[in-house]
Amino acid sequence: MRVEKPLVVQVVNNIDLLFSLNLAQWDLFIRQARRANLLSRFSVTLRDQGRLDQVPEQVRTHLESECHLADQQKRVIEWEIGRIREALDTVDLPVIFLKGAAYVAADLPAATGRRFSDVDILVPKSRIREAEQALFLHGWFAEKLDPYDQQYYRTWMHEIPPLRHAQRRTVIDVHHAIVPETMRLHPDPEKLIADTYATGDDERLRVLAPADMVLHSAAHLFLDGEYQNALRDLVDLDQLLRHFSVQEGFWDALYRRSVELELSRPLYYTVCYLVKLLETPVPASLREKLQLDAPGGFAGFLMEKLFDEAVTIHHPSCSGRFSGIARWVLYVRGHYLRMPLYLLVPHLLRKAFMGNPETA
Amino acid sequence: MIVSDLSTAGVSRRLGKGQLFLRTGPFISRIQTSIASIQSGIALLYAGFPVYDDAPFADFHVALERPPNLRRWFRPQVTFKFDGWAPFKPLPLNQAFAMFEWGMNWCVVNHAHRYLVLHAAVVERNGCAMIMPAPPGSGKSTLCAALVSSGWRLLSDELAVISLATAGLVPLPRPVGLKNQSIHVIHQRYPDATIGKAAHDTTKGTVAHMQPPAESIARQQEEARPAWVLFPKYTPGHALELQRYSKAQSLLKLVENAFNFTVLGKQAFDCLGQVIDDSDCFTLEYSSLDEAVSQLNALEIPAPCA
Amino acid sequence: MHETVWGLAAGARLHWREWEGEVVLFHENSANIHQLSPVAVTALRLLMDEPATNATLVQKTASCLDIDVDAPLQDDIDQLLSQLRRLGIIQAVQP
Repeated sequence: MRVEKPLVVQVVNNIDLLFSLNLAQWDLFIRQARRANLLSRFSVTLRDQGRLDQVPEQVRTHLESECHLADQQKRVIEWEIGRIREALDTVDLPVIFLKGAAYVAADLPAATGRRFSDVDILVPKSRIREAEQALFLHGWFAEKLDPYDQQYYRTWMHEIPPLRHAQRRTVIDVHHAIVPETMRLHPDPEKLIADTYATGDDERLRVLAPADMVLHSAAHLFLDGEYQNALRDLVDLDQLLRHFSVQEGFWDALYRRSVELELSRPLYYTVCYLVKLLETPVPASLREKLQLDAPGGFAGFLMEKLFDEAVTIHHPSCSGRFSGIARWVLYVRGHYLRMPLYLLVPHLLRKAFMGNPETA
Repeated sequence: MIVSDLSTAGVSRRLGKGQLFLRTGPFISRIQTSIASIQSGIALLYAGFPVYDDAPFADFHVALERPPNLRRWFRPQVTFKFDGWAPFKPLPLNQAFAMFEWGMNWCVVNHAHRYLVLHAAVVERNGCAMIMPAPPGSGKSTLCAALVSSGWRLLSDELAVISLATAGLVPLPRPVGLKNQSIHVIHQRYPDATIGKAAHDTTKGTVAHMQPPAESIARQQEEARPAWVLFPKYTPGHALELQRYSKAQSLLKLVENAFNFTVLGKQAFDCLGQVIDDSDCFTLEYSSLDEAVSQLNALEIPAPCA
Repeated sequence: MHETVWGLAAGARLHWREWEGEVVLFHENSANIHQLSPVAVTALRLLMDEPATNATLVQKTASCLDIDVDAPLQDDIDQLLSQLRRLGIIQAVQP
């Protein structure tokens, strides 16, 4: 049975659709897009196209509001990029930005109206203490976590606990790998660091190489166990692929790198979903090669069902009957992939006890 | 159609089904709730506001619900939901109407960055607006209630909404929040004022709301020019004292009271600069409401607003 | 330290408002707002025109305001420069 895609997904594929909406459809669109964390993106896109004044007045209030938030975010991130550079410069470390901050630093189309709350950076594991110390001296402190969470982060996660700036309240996540250490997949962070490039004249402001950026985003989406922003993350990936694929040999490089970094499985999922949901132009040759890495039989079928449920917006107008359960199972799976089995139970029990697993 | 055109039962039925669309200032809110105290509060305190049975577009979809947990039986609570999502923790059920009001403020503060929004009361006469930013306990709401009961138009009791394009004050009239003794004071002075049921033991003490004057609601689409920025301070036993206040300091205080100054950045700085350029700025220390009101009635209108 | 030449930070965007001699500075990059004394306004304006060391900025500020170069003025300028640096408004530049 073919289910009609949610309105917000249809608009990702074709923004012109917005101009055929009646007011009631606009109402639904704004609510879905806001919940999917995509309203800023659509708003800024319309503004950049000079088409905000073609939108009904009541609707424009909300789109303009989102444009203001997006502009602020861009200002703040550009400012913080300079401050982080200044801090890490004192210990002679370049700044390697990841995810949203990287899209802004490299001025990629994926940065358009992209909303995010933290600045993610990558630091070699051997230098993580120095980096933390330098950031501390410039006003970033580890948030108060209970000892259990502190240890969880430091031992099993691929990042140290988030650092929040005492005055400006901005948050930095310092990573030393792009997936947790205990995962059965081990993309080597040294390889990633070796291939980073400077975003401009300043050699100290760097981002991952195009293929690595895509693979990191894919790994984050399909291995982390957090699916609240799944559609937003897929839109990022769609934008990255459309942008980078203009480069000669990009698709081959992407496949080779996915094998080298042991990330061909999440890339497979990514490509499946992008083609299915967002009609991303991925060459058939890549899809065939990745098919070899696809999970088979019942596991594959179940996985697809679960992701289908997870990769929709969490708005009442889109939720299937079981999507709450499906998201929880995915959360468990995300943690299973991340930790040796004996570690799984205590953390989950605790999270389940302390709050709703969907938001934990 | 306004709320008072409907029967109380009609208001409750529409709220129960989530079919009540209420217009306040530039916004339409679709409200859903089965909680009786909110239903009767809306019927009473929003009596004069425009309402629709069905609007194709609502700015805010809000619901107030009792959370489905054990506490429901021995310590009932209320949750505010914005389109299915609860941005804050539940409160005791007896504070339901106050929570509705706070939730409505939250909607504006977080989704209306087309405007500069300050934590301040705004009243108007002859098209000229007075902005009163003030910390809790300064008597801002009492003074605001007294002014609107003495012929000033209410633009807003809690949120000054400023158009970035024109630096004009956009009305957002809603019931005026009164705290503790001021509930009694206003009731005594203005026996005709309609005041809702008080909620006790909130974080702000006892809270009740006063119905805004009909004229303020009828003119809720009509902007006003900024003319005065007033920092009131209620000090028992203090003789009335109105003093000019530094414009630079006034700007800094408005920035402190702005919810979205950092969101709007330079546009907010320019807009507030314009407001301060066009306004006379004062501090007012008072203990007698009568004296305060007649002093403010006598204020000269500054040239840019005349 | 006092040999450092200070200039406006790269990309810094500053806006001013003045009423009755009181100046409010808005630093757009950080969305911070500051009130500046007349000495601070003068020194920052001079720095925006041309980068300077602590010592030259003291000289220029004094002659601009027609006041004496003395220890309190030097302290004020030292303090101002270190505050502006911490706020990211100025940075060390190549002479």
